[in-house]
Amino acid sequence: MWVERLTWADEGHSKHLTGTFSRSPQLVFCFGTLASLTSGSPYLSAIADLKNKYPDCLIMGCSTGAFIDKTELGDEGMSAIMVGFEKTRLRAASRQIDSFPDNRELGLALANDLAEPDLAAIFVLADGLNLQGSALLRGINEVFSGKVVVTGGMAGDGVDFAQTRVLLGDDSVERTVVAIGFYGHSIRVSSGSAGGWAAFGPERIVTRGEDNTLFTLDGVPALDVYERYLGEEAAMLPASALLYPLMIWDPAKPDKTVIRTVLGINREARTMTFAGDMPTGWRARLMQGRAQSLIDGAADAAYAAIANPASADTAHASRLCLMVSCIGRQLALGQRTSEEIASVANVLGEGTVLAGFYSNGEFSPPKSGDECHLHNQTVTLTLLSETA
Amino acid sequence: MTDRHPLLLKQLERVTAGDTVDLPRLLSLISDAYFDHERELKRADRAHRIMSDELEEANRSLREAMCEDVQNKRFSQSLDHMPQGLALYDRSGLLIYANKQFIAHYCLPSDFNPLAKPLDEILRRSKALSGAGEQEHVRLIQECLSLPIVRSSVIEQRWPDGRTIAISRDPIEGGGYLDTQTDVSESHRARQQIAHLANYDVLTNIPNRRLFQQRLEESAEAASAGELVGILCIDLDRFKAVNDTLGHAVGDDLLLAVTRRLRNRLRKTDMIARLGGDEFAVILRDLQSKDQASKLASRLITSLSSPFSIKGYRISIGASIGIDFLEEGRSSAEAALRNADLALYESKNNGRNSHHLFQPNMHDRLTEKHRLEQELREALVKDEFTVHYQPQFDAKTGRLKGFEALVRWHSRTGKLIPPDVFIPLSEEIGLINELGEWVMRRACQDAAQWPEPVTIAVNVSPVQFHGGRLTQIVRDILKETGLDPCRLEIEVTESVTIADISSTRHVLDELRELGISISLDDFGTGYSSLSQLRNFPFSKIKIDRGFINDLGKTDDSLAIIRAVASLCGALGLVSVAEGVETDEQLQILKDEHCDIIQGYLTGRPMNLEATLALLADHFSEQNEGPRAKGQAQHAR
Repeated sequence: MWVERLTWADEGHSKHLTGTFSRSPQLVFCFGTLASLTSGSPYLSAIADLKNKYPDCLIMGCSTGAFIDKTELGDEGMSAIMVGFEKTRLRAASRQIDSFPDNRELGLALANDLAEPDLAAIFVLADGLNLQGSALLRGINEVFSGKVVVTGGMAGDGVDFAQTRVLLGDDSVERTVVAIGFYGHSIRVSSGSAGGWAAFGPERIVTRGEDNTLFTLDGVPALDVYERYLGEEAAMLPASALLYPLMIWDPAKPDKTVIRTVLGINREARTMTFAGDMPTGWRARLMQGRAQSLIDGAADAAYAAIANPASADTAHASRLCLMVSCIGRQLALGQRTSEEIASVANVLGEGTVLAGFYSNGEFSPPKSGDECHLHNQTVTLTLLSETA
Repeated sequence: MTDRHPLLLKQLERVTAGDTVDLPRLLSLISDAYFDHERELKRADRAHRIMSDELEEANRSLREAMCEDVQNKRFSQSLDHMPQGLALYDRSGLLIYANKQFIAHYCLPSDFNPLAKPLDEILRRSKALSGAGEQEHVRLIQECLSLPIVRSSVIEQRWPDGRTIAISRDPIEGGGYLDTQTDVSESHRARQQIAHLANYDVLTNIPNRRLFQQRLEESAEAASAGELVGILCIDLDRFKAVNDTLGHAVGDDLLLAVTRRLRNRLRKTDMIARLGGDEFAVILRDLQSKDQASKLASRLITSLSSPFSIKGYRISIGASIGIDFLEEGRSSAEAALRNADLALYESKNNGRNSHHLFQPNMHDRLTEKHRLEQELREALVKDEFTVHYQPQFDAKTGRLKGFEALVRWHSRTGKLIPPDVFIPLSEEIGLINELGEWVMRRACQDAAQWPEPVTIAVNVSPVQFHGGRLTQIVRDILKETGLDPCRLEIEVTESVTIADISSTRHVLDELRELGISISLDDFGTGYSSLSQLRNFPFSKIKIDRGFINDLGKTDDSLAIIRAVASLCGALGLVSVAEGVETDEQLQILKDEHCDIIQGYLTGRPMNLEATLALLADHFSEQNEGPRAKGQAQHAR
């Protein structure tokens, strides 16, 4: 397996990708701003050129407010990584949200598109606003039951929460989910996920929640609770709500907590929309992140990924790390966001090429062998390598 | 540089290009970092303050809750001991509290926790509501769900296991509602029983007068819409005698048997009711013709006329029926019932065992009867009764043996009212004891003046016989009049003897002890049990006039007279033939060794004056020598 970071060169008003291209790439990951992925963008033209040159190469990506470029954060343009494999076979699939009665059905269809006996892992990029990630993953999990490593994330647009896009080939589209399947016995995929957020304040009860809308906590409108905590920062809702993610859990399984991040609010109804289910009767606690604990949390995710038995020895082969981190973290970290990227890179070492984006939701199994879950406010890492 | 903060190093890296440092940009980055840090501190401060307030509030609530918890436990225990089931639902319709009885009433499965569940789910899990088929299950659930929650309301449900449950629903302040269930099976049953008792006859379990009236009113409405409805009033003939003589237990059983027979002959749509005593009534709905009612009445009479077998007795009664109709233009329920009742009287007055349709002139006849009743009550006071005497002769010798006392009523209106009219009437209106005593006294007074050993026979009605005072009255009269008891004969009919044997025997024995002889009247018409002749101390048997009348016409009569006469001979009893009117009859009776002759042939009933004349004549003749047959006829 080989990995090479591509760079962009300007030619007048157009752009083109530069790299060694000593071998034909099989897979290119592109993470860019919404503008870079919008029709007419010079980046899309360059991608189209690449596609023409390497018709067999799979190109996949999504929009984001900030992409990861080496150990830095990019908020203009696009990052691109090309990958080649020795033995691993690849296949891509794409499904539109509106073709299905619900997101679970979409998940089922997408998983069935890729299902083959030697499928080892899939990486999923989904619309970041018009989809219930939990439902999508329920559908996918129904097909794979944890036997295939499923990771990925939901596209972003910074703190605008207005529009997101996914890319497959040179098609940049809305309301769509794309996925790529890795086949064969040589591919090694491991993942790690951590937050670094700390729960605080009293335990609350979700007294009314429907799908991903939270109505009340302890009988009090959810938006009232958030406005009280945010004080003057309430003016920046819904983005400022990212400072206080919500940890929720089924009271019957208190050790299986999940973190939910806010996607939108309804000031009239005093409700909040989250990037995942909000079941009535579940317990909830507010969380907060001090910069240093979030940075340490990112390192924890990296340690978890390399501790994973599926992580390959990096001594003789190059390795790709796809990092999907939550927009909420970027908001809380401010200038220090690059420190969490640096702490991941530091743990993984120089043999690993890092790429990724700030998302509206992260997909990964909580631990090795589990089914895939939707996370919020975490750093989720997918390590890809190939055995000799 | 390594001990510098990573952020500062990063900032320096960002502003350094080659050897030049963009100082203004560096300062801006550092300033932003301070602001970031300040905001973070402010957020943390604010969060801690609010969290602290929240925890304080939670702590206070918890302390209160702990205190409330003790109260709640006491309260909950009290609620668990209530006989009612109790359930509290919140404003979104989810159960927030239920006591033990609630769970028990609905028989909810032990693995089902109804808390936080909506009512429809709880009802669907109830084992108490299932078991009577899916349709009924759904109906019970729907009925309960449809109870309004905005105002107090109550329903009663009969559950498949037979319980009757009252469910009341009341709204509670601040939203939600309270359901209370009460097992009212017992009071429901009691209520039904009371309602049943109010509408049904206790003995026969058929509708009583109250329910009959109700149905009659309903029928009247149907009649005004064009339906032909028949009303039958039924009265049992001779029931009173059965009740008086055989006792109420037999009477009750007879009424039950009568009810069964009546029901068996009616259609399902007909309604039968017991109005009281031996009075029944039937409503015949939707008749095709009036004739249909008449035919049914005939069938009912035939049915009730065949003998009943009750407690070992073979009892013959009959029925009289009056009929009227409700129809378009004549639909007064009250009038129809009154008219049917009048028609019933008509049947009773016309020899019973018959039915009559109402005719308008029946009103007049009833008025006439009431007038007669009134006159009868006054007759005793006004001394309108007289006693006539009919002579009885020895069949062989022609000698005058005695007289039978027969009461006569010359009404003040000048009419002679026949005994077969006023005797039953006096029994009906309760005058018979007084009248009987008067006749007995008068007859004994008169007979005391007659030459010995001429006897006087006085009839005693069953009512007098079983009245309990007969012996005492007879004793007093004998004492008053000085009549030798052996000259007094008391005539009783067979119906007297079928009552309680021991009490009958007791009265007869008492009378015999006074020295009185007892005659069995009208032998052969009623029960005619030969065992009576042995069980009771009779000294005479009077053969019914019906047999005498038929002599020479049918062979049966002769055979019966021959048998009775020879039986009397064998048992040492005297046989008396009454109603002898022809020489031929006399001859046959003589030939058959009948002992005593009574009838128009040998002497009509006569007043005291004529009686005394006959006695004088007879005894003077007797003194002159034995009387010949031809001389006996003289007395006619």
